[in-house]
Amino acid sequence: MNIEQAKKILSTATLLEPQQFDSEQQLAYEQLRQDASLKTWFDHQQETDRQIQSTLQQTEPPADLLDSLLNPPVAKPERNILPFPIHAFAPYAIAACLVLAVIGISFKDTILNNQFFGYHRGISSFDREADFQRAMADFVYNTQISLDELSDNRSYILEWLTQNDAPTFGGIPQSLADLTTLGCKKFFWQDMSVSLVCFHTDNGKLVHLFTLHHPGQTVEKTQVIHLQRYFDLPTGGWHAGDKSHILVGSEPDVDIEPMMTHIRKSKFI
Amino acid sequence: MPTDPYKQAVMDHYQNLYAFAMHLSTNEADAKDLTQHTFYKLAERVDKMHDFSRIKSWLYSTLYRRFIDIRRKDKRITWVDPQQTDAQQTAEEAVSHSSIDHQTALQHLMSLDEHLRAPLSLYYLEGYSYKEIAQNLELPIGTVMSRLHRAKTALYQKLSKGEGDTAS
Repeated sequence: MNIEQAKKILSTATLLEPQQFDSEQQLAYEQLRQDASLKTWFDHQQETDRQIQSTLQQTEPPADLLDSLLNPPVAKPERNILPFPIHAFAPYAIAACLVLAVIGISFKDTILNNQFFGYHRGISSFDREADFQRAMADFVYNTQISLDELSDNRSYILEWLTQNDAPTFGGIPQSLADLTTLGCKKFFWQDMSVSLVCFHTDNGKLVHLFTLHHPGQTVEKTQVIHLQRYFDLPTGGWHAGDKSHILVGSEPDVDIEPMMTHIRKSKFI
Repeated sequence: MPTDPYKQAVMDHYQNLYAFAMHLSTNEADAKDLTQHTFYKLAERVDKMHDFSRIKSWLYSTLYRRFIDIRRKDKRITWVDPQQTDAQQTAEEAVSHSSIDHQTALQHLMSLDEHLRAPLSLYYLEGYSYKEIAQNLELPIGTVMSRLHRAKTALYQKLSKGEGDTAS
């Protein structure tokens, strides 16, 4: 451990007693015995931090705060809810059920073949991807994202995702592959595992790559997920094999379009 | 635990929680709102809580989450790579202990970037270790360690510069 590393670790331990140190801090603390200048530095930091601590702890809350916390506004009493007079509507409900049952039997084949409604049963791939796209933009915009792992090594990130049963991205466009990774995270969306990998852009902003694995919806040819703005953030992606990939820029002016040229030229819609 | 755990929690923690809110929001009105919101959330769920030993940690996490939510809607937070900027702030300034007063320390703390203020505030207010700070702020330990080091370096620089300004 060099002096700079020791200082970095010891600067997080200035308000602790040596017996409270963890192993890393203990190791750094050992160096104090061999390095007089490091000891002087640490003693000064300790004294300064104790001073700062005692001054910052003097922050006085407003006089009325305690009272407002101890006597919060009381909620109104619950309304006296009358039970719904179901017996009065029972004959009409039975009649309505019978009518619906007759309609259901008459149009059974049409409904099952989806001809009546004109689209597939369940959530179509398009619907789900649109939901996913919007949800990930929402996630970036409204959540304080804490990455599980920080690394600028893409191979390590892929290894981490594999070890944690998170979806891995396969082939990614060169323009994205050229960027440096910040880190990754695994989480769940609608009970499905999602991985997030963050990349730095050249101007210090971020591109988030979300990958969702949905084995039931495999496509043979890569499909584009159209560029859209949600919360003013650019989003777009592609569906390849049984995975959907969504890119979300961290700021409205992040240009994700070049990162989708491997699919086909897409414009914001 | 006393008969009213809510009141006990208020009495035990409202001062430091308000100070934390003040360090984050940098103004009294927002700090008061944040503190009230946090205790309002506690009042809502205190009956369902079983482990009161973690109540302080829960209060800090709740307040911090609320602060981040508000800031997200208010202003986009710029993300920075802690590893990248470490090298930029390695200078160490000698701070004279006699120069530190409450207002100066508070002003300099509040002038730091908000992602540096949060860990530093918990460090000074509660004397938390970096692992406890990581738990409270729901951040990776390495990130907290880096931010804490950078925050302290930046604060020392400001205190030292402030001292020079005063002297001249």
